[in-house]
Amino acid sequence: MIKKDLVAASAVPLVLLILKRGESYGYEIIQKVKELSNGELNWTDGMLYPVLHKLEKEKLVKSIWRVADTGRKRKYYKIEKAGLRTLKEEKRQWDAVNGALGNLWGGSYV
Amino acid sequence: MALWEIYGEGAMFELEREISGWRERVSRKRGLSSEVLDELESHLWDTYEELSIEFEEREAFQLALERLGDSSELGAEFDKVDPLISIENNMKNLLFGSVIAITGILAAVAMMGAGMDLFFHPAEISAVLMIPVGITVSSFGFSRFWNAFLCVVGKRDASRGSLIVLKRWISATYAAGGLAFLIGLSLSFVHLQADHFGVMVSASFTAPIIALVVSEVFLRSTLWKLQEHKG
Repeated sequence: MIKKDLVAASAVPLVLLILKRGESYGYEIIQKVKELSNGELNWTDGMLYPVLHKLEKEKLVKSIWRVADTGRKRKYYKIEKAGLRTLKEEKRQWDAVNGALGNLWGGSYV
Repeated sequence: MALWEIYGEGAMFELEREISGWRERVSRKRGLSSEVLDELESHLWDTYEELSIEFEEREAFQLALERLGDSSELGAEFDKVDPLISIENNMKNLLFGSVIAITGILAAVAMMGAGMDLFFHPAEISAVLMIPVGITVSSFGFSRFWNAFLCVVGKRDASRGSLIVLKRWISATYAAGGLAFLIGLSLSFVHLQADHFGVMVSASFTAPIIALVVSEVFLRSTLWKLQEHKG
């Protein structure tokens, strides 16, 4: 199980990446994260919502209420242009971290 | 606590009732907006549907709640996103708390005075009845004020002041005050032909109501400006 700090740090790029593939809603986003990480990334479900609201406030995503197939209303999120830009920057930073770790683990430092 | 925990396993489980109970508890505790609650509720339904395939309905609901997480932690996270909501709660607490506390004390003192002046008068009964009302009002008011003060100076979790609780509490206080006022006023009209006692009682309870309306208007306009600034 991935530790809390790392879960929190990776939340924004994960959410944005999922939304880049198409609009989605909270429950579905959580399911996708669990699935993609083989259950390693285990969020407390409720914690995703403050993240989504923060992204919306920063205008990185947009939300809309729709009636789902179940007949209940559901709030869907969609990525905005600013969100795509943020994602690029996130990718650069994660690549840098990943690159540094990869070099050390794969190199003669170990 | 879930209903089935109170009445035992035999009690009927109704998901809608459980969910509305959960909404009630969370909103009372945290003062989350109804839109946030709608979204979390929609999440609960989805989780419940998934879990109910595998688990019995009560268990599925309890597990769905657990997965959603602790409402206090959740509320604190939401406050970080929109601190304005907690500022709004605290400003209301500060204003209402101080207005109510001061007027409550004034009312209690005035009632004690009236009770002594009219020692042998039947109106004394209502005056005496109002003393605890005044004291209760002021103590609650002061605790609200103190709580809000601690939040403002950062000594307490800024989101602890719940608007919804405050509104209910204010209604209850004024309902009690209004009732005492009516009793006092009618007694004094009958026995004193509307002398100073009735005037005093009405002044004690009309003043805070006016003050409350004025502070509400002031607060709304300030908050509106804050929102404008934020937007």
